[in-house]
Amino acid sequence: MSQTINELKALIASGIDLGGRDLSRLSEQTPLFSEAGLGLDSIDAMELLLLLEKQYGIVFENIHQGREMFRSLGALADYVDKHRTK
Amino acid sequence: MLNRSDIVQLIGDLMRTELARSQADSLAIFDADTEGLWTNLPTDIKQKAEEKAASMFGYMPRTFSSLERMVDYAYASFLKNQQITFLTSGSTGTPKQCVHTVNMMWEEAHGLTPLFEGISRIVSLVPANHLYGFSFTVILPHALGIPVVHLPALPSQAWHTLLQPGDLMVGFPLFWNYWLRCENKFPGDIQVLSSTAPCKDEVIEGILQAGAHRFTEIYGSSETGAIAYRHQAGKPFEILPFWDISRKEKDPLIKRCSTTKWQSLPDKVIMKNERFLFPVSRQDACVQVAGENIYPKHVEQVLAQHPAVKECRVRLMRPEEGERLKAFVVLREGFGPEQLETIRTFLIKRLTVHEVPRTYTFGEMLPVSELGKEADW
Repeated sequence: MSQTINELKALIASGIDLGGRDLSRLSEQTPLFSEAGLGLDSIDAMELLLLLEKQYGIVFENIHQGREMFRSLGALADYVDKHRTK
Repeated sequence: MLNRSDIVQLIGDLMRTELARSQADSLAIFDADTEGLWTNLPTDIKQKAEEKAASMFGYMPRTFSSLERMVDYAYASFLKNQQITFLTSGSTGTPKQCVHTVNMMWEEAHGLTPLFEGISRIVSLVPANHLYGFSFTVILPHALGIPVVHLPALPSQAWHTLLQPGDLMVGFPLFWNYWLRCENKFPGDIQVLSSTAPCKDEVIEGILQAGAHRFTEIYGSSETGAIAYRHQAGKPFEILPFWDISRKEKDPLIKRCSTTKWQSLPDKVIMKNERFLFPVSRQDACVQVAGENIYPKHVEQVLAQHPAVKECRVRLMRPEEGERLKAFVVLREGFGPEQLETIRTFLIKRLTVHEVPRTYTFGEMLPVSELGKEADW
């Protein structure tokens, strides 16, 4: 598992109230915004983008990339690796 | 007044809302292509969307072979009925129907236009299938003769390229709260609108300090539409000119100037003079989560149906705890906190995404104060 995925797990665990959900079992393919995965909702999306901006300097620039970017933990890690400015 | 593309927007947002509420696909907010959304809609969500569209436009629920046919049917029904029905979550979990006629919509739009002089475009961050979004991102653009663009309600975006002078951003308190936490600044001549829940004074002040040309907060409800507005923190809301108000009873009553039906305000209020008010608390037991009306008592009733739950209480988190519901659960004998996942799954199947409590506290008895009254935890 990539360094960025581990970083993202730590970031999510520290910044988003997951209501006791266990992050350790999540894989690259785990969906972020579905009950089959992490079960994040629209409030979490705002919090997550805030965390990404503070941590990596990432600003969401293209609505058409949103679905792919948030598809899974692995997809988000790819996006972060390509777009991080810090 | 409405055109066919408005109906597409309404039905598209209705589908996106259903996908998000059920957690079937929260990422649909990124799909501007409504046709593609329809094509890939899961069967159960399509059925719900068809039922809600039927309720909204006033026809018997039916299935459609294509989005085009559904839009045509909905548009024809709107032209015939001259009204739209919005659903708001009722205190028992049964949605409440709020009918708004074309005359009411126009009356409201023309009463609101003086508040937004100088606006050349509307930037919508809210769904059009709820009354607030409909009034300000569908009807108001028609009344002002200006275009509207729809963006997902994500505060961390490249706003310097997305916004232009003369924009009115239509958002909600939680979004503006995150806007400030992102330390966003407004480019010149941008107006800001907020509604669906009270906006804290420090958020209003922060938005103005971040460079917004003007802030407008609308007070209203799905039943009434917009009732009053204010531009500054700490000031009372001024009742909009298309409302009459009566103070003959203990609590004030309002009615549209064009009608004879008096009705209660959605909140207990303090009147400052004949046409200025401060909302104090809801008349019902409703709370807002992400701009959505939620009834904790209804959530309690559903939670109490779980076989492991003996007693429970559900309430909104304190501000320092978060923006969602929390639950306190007393389990039946033989059950332990390992029930958490089964309880959460039970609720997810029966409630909308924002009705499901985010945190659960287990205890041997419900929390009470020293005086024996229900207490927070």
